[in-house]
Amino acid sequence: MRRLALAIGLCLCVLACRTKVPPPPVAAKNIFILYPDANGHIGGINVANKAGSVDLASAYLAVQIDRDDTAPGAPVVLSKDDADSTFGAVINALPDPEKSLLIYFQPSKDEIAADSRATLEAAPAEIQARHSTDVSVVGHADSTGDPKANYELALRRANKVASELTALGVPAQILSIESRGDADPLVKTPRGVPEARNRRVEILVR
Amino acid sequence: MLKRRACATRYLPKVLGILFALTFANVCLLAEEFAGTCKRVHGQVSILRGNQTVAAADGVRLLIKDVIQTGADGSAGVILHDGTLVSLGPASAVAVEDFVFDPANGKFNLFLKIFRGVVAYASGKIEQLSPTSVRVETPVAVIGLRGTRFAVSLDPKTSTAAK
Repeated sequence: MRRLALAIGLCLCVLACRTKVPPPPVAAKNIFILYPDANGHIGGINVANKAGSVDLASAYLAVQIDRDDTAPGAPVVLSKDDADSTFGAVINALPDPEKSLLIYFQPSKDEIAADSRATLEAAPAEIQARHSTDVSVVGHADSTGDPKANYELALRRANKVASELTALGVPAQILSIESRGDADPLVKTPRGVPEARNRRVEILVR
Repeated sequence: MLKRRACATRYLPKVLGILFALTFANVCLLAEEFAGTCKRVHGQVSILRGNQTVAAADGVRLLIKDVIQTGADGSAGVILHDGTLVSLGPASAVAVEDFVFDPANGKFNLFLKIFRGVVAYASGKIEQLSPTSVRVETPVAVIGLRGTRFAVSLDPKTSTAAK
């Protein structure tokens, strides 16, 4: 009986001790790792200090660097699970990417195309859902007419969309209004060619 | 009383002028300094701005030179004005040392400093339009980028103080 009590006591003690052991430090080493982009595309990074340099250009390739004066170690490919055990939480904590809404316009005018009304009217909900305090309203023109006039036209278009948004309840101070004139077409055309897809205002919600 | 009122009237235009100048300067300054906004703020997260500490919350704006830092239970995200994404795990700190996003004039610059903790990054338009304009520093190495998503965890022993 005494032995049983002792055994139970020992078990409890071990359990208690176990729960008291502090978790290992989150980052005991300096690790750099390449992740695939949200769309699966794999880019690349270069990691360099005064002792050396290494390129990471495949998914979950990681390198350890001890100090700023010690060369990077040999890169190691981690399994997705191993990578996620250290980095999954912070990768998941990345905010949603900016959302782009396109509003199209009548040729040479700041009049919103009828079929873009629905997109415009849905914009305030999108802004609110993201609790956004940073919205760009960027006006564009196609390449008919001269660039200076197109800059002004694209600015009028952006102002038009901005005033519609404020009328729909979006606070004016979160909007930044810009014009790119005809310098940033969605569809490249020869000079002077009308192109409906370039007569647009892009609303960027961040 | 009459004298005082006359005095006030005399100085009013000057005072208004100064007020206007200050407000205008302030607005310009803010527009110049704005870099991005905080998102997905959880637990203890603060912003160091000069000698001040500002509480971080979703939608709070970040200015150039701000340091965003998380406590042991904290995590936070940042979306910069060009769409660059940054996230911080617990006990982490990142400074937006410089930020210029001016596509109309072809001017770009992004300089981030990661001081400590666990941090992830996903590229935005500055990196797309001008990859050489992006610089990310850590205490042990500098990171060059080619349109990508990466993460870093830092050893507390080689981490540096945020300021």
